[in-house]
Amino acid sequence: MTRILRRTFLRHLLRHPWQTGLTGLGVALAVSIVVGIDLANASAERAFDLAIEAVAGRTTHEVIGGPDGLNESLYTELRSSGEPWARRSAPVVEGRISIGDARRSLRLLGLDPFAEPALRDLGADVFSVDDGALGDLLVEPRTVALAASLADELGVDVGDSLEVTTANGTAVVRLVSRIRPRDELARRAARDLLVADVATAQELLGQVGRLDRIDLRLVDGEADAIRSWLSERSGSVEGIEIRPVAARSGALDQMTRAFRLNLEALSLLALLVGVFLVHNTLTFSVVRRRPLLGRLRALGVQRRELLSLVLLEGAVLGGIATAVGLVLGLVLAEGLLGLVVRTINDLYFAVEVQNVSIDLRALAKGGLLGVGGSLLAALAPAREATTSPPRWALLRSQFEQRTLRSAPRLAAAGLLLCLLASALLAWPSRSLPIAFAAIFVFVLGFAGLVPAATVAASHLATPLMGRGAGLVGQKILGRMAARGVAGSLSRTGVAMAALTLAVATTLGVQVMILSFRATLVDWLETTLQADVYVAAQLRSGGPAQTLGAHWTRVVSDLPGVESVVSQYRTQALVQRADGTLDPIPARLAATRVDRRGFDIFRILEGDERGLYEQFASGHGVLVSEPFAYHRDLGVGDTIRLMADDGVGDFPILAVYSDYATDRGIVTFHRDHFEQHFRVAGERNHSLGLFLASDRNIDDFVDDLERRLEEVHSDRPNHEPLPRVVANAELKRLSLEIFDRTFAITGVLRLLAIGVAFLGVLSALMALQLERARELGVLRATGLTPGQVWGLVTLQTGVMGSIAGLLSLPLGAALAALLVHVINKRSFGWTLAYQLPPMALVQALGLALVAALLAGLYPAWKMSRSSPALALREE
Amino acid sequence: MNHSSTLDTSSHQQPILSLQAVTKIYDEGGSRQTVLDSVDLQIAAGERLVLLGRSGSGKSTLLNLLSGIDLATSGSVRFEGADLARLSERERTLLRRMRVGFVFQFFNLIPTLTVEENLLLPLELAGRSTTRESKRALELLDRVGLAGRRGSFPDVLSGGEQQRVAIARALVHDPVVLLADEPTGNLDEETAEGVLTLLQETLAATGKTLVMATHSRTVAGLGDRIVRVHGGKLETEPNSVTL
Ligand SMILES: Nc1ncnc2c1ncn2[C@@H]1O[C@H](COP(=O)(O)OP(=O)(O)OP(=O)(O)O)[C@@H](O)[C@H]1O
Ligand SMILES: [Mg+2]
Repeated sequence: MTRILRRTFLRHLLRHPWQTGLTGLGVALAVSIVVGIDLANASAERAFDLAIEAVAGRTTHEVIGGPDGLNESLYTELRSSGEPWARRSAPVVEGRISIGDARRSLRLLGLDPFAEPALRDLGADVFSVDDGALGDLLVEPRTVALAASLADELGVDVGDSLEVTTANGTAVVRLVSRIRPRDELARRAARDLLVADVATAQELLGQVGRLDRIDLRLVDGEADAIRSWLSERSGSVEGIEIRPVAARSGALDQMTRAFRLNLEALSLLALLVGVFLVHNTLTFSVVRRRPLLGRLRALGVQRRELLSLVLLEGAVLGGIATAVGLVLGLVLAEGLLGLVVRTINDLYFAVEVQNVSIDLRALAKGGLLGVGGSLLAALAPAREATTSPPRWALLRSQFEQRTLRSAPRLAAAGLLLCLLASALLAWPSRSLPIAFAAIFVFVLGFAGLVPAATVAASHLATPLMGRGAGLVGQKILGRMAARGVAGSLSRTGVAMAALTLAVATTLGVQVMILSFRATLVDWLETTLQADVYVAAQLRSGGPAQTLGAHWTRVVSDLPGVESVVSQYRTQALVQRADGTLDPIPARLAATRVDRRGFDIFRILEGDERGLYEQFASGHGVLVSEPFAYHRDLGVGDTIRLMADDGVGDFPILAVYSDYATDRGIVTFHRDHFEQHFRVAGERNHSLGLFLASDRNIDDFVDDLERRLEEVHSDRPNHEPLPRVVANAELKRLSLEIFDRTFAITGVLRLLAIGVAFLGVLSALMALQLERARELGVLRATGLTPGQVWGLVTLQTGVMGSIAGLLSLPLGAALAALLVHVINKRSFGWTLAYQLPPMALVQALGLALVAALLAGLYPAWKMSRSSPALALREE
Repeated sequence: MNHSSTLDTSSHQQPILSLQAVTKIYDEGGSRQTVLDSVDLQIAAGERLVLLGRSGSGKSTLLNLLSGIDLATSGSVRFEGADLARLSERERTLLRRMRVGFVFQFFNLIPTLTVEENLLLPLELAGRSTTRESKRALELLDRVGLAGRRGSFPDVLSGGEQQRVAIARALVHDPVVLLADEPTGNLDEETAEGVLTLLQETLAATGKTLVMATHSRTVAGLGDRIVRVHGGKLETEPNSVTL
């Protein structure tokens, strides 16, 4: 019995290859989106971890100091302390350098080859010496080691010389050793690594006598011992801290978390649309077999047997589709990875990832979602079909009636969910997961409203369409097209909901991005007021390079320069109220600015009267909005920073808006800053020049560049030539980075629409099978194939229009939530919500075009099918 | 007059429908089935012809050929002298739209249209949805006793009521030929009788040509001439009357 039963089911699937294929494709696409995003994220994350690992090795803790690092003597002292942990320590100097034509940026790691083996696997397990000797690094000055692959890439061999450029100038080093990574992980980490002796690195980076940190490998309790050892020397080493290394990767994690969260939210929405699609097609394929199921029941097949068969079918179909989806996901991940990494490079720091690493968790999640979603989607229709009385199973119109009747109930449930979502949002919390949960519930609730709204819209449209089509003498056909939308709700309802969701998501994300962009443009207008900017040459990632004091003088002396705003950036650790250290260091900016230039701060909170005077006289600091939001600080609060002259409390004078970094930034006046922090000379990261109003900017830029080149050619080895950017160019660059950041969301939006498109297509294909008889009668009554095509297309158009209209309020609400809740909670940014009418028109068009495209083939098939054949079918 | 071997009508007037050496073969993936084997048939205007035969004998096939819904494998089918095979799909459709009325066994009505709209559909298709014509349509609905249900959707009508609407719809645009494929096959005896009487009355009033397929002897009594469909051949029943 069961074998024959199974065969009935299998034949059904094979007899409707379109239907089966579309269901499968829908599941596969949804799974692939989720897996693709997850894998791309995981691979990027893996790259960060590797970058950290390559530097940190097996290090468990590190001792760090202020922005200018540690004095070397501390290490000597520590080493000779005779404590058990002293031998498991190693000094590290780290910086970015570039090679040759400055196109290739590398990480320079200064190590002590003798101290290393006790601590790190470098040169032992992970790397093996391929050629030359690591020991030479120590013996010979200005020598380096490179991974063999990198050496080949650069075309250098042991004994060859290399020209390297740092903030400190250009120097020539010699390659004494090629190291060979033992495994793939190490190979990736070594891809941009250049190893030197501490002394060489110090010299190259211009920080003789200073270390960036001391790495330690500690066992339980030893950290406390070191802490007290350090505090015994507190007089000389104030501001020095020991912290676990994990905290560092935690900080990186924090930075990219928000970005990844946004991606995951998108992938979840895609999945939701996918589950709708599966539900849609499985419902259809079960419902279509009502007569068959009824007959089988009449023949004595148990309900339970039927139920398990339907579920088995869902599982098998879902399983195959999921497997395809996983493979597609891998392909997609390859594509997305580039976008993710590019965004992170733009926003945070340079990483190099080229391959997707297979993350089992992501695959498992995708697999579970695909199969589980299919099963869940099959459950409801399976139960329904097997519990209804066999006689009833035969009547299609009654089923349609029932669907119509259930629409208000569904709408009520949807309304309840929307209320629940509002309650979740009103909840005074900053939790991001709660915000996402609220959005999810809201979207689900809205989807519940779609069928009822569709019925209402179809009723409203009927007389209109009748009148419209009446103009060409086809009133009844017009009415029929409109009414058919509600009349086939059991088939089209879910597809319409999916289309509505997908278009609304697209609209929501688009409006969010537009709002964000408009806010950014506005902010750039305020912040970038200087006419021309001068900065050190760009390096991909690593600590940004600084400009020496002489550049400031050169620039200020040029005719036409009225005032100069300077900025120096660094980081400092923050002590929390309870005395513990925040693992995420605060970004600091020290700016020298006059009254005129002070306008670049758009003050959100705080009294602007007298603010400049207070700021300039060192009464306190300004903090950016994300900084205040994340640490829950406001005007009047103080920040406790580990400054070079000891722990200091800095009152907050005002909060200003800033979209440059979502970590937030603390701005000092330069004079105030120098009272508490050491800066080697008057170095700056950037200079903003305000010109006299009669000075032509292009001419000035020409003059400036010529002057800078003159100075540079006088002392070619001293510092690289600074970069000059005019105001307009900088704004353009900023927006370019912004646009690139959101390029990935564009791809995902397209995919979501693709899934919804499949939903509509499969619903229409289903409808085509069902309406064959009806269309046969119409053809016999005298409808030409063209008229049938027109009828079906008109109906698809009505469906698309309704879905498009419904997506407008949902999309606008989604955008508002993304702007006011998600972005605020994850980045701490206040964005100005804007709803451009053009975006609404586009969304409407998108829904319409997607529906019409999806209807193209089914309409064609319906118009071509033989009426004789259709009439034969019952 | 001798009608036993040839199926010609003796009438001197031009037949409204004629089949000449028509063969219909269904080719279903290798297995060929000859349903009609070189048959001839002439149907005169105003004639009431009944096709009688067992299930699967080819009655529906024949009706489909007559209306151009399907095409013969060989031979010619002429509708008012025009060879259907030579017309385009569109022309055949237009011919049906203007000159033919259809009644099927069941599922005649479009579920998303009201009774009235179902009735008006052929008029609209024929471009004749004027007020006068619409009024005539309502009179027709009144004649089939369903004027009170004009705003209802088909799914709330009984089977007999649906068939009555279907008959009204088949006649509303004043076609010259009415094709009926077991119009009472789905109804109980009493209801069937009512529907047939209605059919008879309307035809008597208008003098239209009727071609009806059935497997029921009783129903066949309605016709002037009964043609048996059997083994791919047609055969006129000797006792049937010819106009
Ligand atoms: N499209 C088709 N493809 C293949 N075979 C067909 C097709 N249409 C009809 N047939 C076959 O042709 C034969 C005649 O079918 P038809 O529907 O004309 O019979 P019928 O006399 O109308 O029967 P019933 O009284 O059951 O309606 C049947 O054996 C049927 O299986
Ligand atoms: Mg038949």
